[in-house]
Amino acid sequence: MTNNPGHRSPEIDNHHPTLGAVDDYHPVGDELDILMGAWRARLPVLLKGPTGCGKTKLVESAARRLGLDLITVSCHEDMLAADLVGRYLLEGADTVWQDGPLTTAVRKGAICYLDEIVEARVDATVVIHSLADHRRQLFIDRLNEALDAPDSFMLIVSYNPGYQTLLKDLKPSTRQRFVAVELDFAPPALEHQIVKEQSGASEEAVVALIRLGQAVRHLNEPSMSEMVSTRALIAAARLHTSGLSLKRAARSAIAAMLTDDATVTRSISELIDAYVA
Amino acid sequence: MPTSPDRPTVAGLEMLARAVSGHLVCVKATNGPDQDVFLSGNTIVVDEGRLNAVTRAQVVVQAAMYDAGSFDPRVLRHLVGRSAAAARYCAMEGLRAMALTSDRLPPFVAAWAADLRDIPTTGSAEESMRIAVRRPQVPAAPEFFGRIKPGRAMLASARTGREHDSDVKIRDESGVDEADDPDTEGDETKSVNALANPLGANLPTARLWQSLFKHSGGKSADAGTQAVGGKPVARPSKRPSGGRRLDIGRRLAAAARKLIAGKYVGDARYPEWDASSKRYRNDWVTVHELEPWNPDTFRDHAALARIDMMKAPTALTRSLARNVLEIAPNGRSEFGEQLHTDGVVDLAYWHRSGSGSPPLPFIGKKRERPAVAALVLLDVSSSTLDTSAHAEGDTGSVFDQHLKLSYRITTALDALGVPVGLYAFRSWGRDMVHVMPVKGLRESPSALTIRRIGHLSPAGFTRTGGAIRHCTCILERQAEGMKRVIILVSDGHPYDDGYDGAQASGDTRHAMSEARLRGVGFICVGVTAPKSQESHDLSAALDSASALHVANISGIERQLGKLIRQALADTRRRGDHTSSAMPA
Repeated sequence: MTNNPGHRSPEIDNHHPTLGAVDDYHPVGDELDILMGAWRARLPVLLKGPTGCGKTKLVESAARRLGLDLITVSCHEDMLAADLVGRYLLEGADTVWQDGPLTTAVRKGAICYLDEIVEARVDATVVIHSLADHRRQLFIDRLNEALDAPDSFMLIVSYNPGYQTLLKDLKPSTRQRFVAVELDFAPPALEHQIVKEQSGASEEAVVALIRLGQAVRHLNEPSMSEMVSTRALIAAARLHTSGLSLKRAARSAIAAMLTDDATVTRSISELIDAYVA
Repeated sequence: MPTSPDRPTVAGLEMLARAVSGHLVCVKATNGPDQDVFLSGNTIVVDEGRLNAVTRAQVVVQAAMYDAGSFDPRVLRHLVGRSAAAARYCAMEGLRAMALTSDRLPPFVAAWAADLRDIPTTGSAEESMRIAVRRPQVPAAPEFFGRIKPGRAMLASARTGREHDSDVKIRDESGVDEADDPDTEGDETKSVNALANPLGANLPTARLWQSLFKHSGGKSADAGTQAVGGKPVARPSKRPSGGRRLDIGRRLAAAARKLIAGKYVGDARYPEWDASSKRYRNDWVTVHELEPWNPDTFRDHAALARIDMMKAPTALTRSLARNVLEIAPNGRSEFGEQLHTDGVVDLAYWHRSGSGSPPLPFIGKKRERPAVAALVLLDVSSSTLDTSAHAEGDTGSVFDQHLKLSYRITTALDALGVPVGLYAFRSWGRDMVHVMPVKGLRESPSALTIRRIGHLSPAGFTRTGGAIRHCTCILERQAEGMKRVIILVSDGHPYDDGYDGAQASGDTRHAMSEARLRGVGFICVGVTAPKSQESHDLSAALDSASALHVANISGIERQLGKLIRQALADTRRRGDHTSSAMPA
């Protein structure tokens, strides 16, 4: 590993040196064990699951338990390899190299979590190839430098297979480098516990919200591209705890977020009427 | 959005029913003398004048019972004409269904159900039925359960094609219970009579069936097997050879005759072009949207794989990508026509720093997901049972080849990011046009899609106009603001009761024109069956620019992209059409 004297570490908002003392993640199955096992075996992990099922929470929990820094990158359509690896910036009359979040994670031996990896451009996904196989090495072409990842470094990527297609899918050559962890929404009893713990809402309110969530997930409504997530249920419960009526909270956090179709929104509002007194 | 908690709407009740049952359940409001809430087929009937909190609970319980299999015709047939036993059955099944759906039961319904302590707990619909028949002391269902009307459910099973392949055997309890119950529903009793009578040649409805089938292209036709979605008419050797099952089929066919005569009010009505009077007949065709269901001829994944349906349509995807995807700016490129501002600045940095690989200074381009939505409409009428054989080896019935083609088109378009739906259709007269959703526009192809495909089998006739109009509405509703196209996979041979010759081709042409005027492109593709129809039928019903019928699937796939592009180009922009040309 080499160090360039012109390097400086970037200030990254979601870079948490310590993630808090209390771990509020409740494993649904053996996903946490797989994640810890993969870290010990120095294997990268691909998390699959619907939006709001707890992928980020899982990664935060793993980082906390391992005592590692976590660097999260939310991938987007315009993300280039340089956005991950780093780039030169002008500073006065000079150019200064700035590490990207992936390079920072490799240098620090942290966990790098690339959220919704398929959204990134192909060059950004290909850059992780050498990190994700036996080489565990990041090549920075502009510095002509190869960084060997320390043992503590871990790469975790996530994607939601529900709304991805061939145009937005992982290349097989990328996918095959990972071990996969499939996540889904927690079963009702566990989801009840999660929502209650994270919102402080009353038992009655949580029961109504959990049943509402289960009901909406059974709908096969074409205009709804997403299902109601645990995150949305927690948001509704928190709104209620902050003083709103449960019905208004559920409409804001659930009905309005699921669809833009006015007719369907109204029908979901009526569904809320049936579940929330 | 303001709603009234005490005054639910039909749309709200329908969503509630779908949420509780997890199935495509409909809710219909009637204002007749019957104020009961009950389920018929996949429709929960409610009283328009009494929509309140109790109605909401009734819809929940009925939907839960639908999911729990409480309306299985094999069980319900033992309760036909026994209203008291049916009420007891409803009580036990309601309780059982609520236990099965307890994770999503509205809390107020769960609270009401908690007070019911006298109703026995059962483990299956059969057990509930046996207890209901034998033990009159079991209490009847409370009001908030709604009612179970076995006769109506049996009739509806004929309409939806939910046939029973084995009967539940019970000891005849007619001597024990109220076989002559004076309180039996009037309609049901009549229906039971209809069920009890075999196909009578002198009945007006029977004559209707005869008129329906005598023009079926020379094929023999059994109304019973057609109506229940059972064995296809062109394979008489595969029909049940006799006995109880055939008898039930005939009885259900008789029940379906009543429906065809116009007693059932369906889900959506559309006009039809009358070729003789040169004007539209308003509300002429009734289209029912039903889940594909036919356990008799169900084909699993392995059976469908044997007709090569599961092979990845790589060449088709590539061909469609060339014709359907749009080229859009995308990041940076080493070569190009337009400079990328940041790329040029990066290049300047690179020249000064001199390390690493040079940045890309041009704007890149790539094919992007288009703003196009498609709906593949598969003809599953019995005329597709004809076989076709040719040099490329795509042998088998036209239906199998069309099934394969439809699924390949659907998966190829889905892979390109195009919202694509797959629907199947057939008809039995103008009151029974069935449109069956196999894959919705926003669904991904999944095991559920394969399971629905497995339930498709050819039966009935081809009232193409109604199906096209219904699918045009689906696309208008679900793909607003996008370019839209309907891909009809059919032998191009519209035919139904009162729907042949100039009438059929005229209405089909009008339905296509209406679609185009509404901004929905239209094409029709299919393999040519040597003996299935005369060429003039095709040219009469479909204009040559939008139709492609060649002898093999690969020939269609090679040209499909161009056809779609042409269809989209032909479609007028939304708002360009004159409403005078359209039916009300």
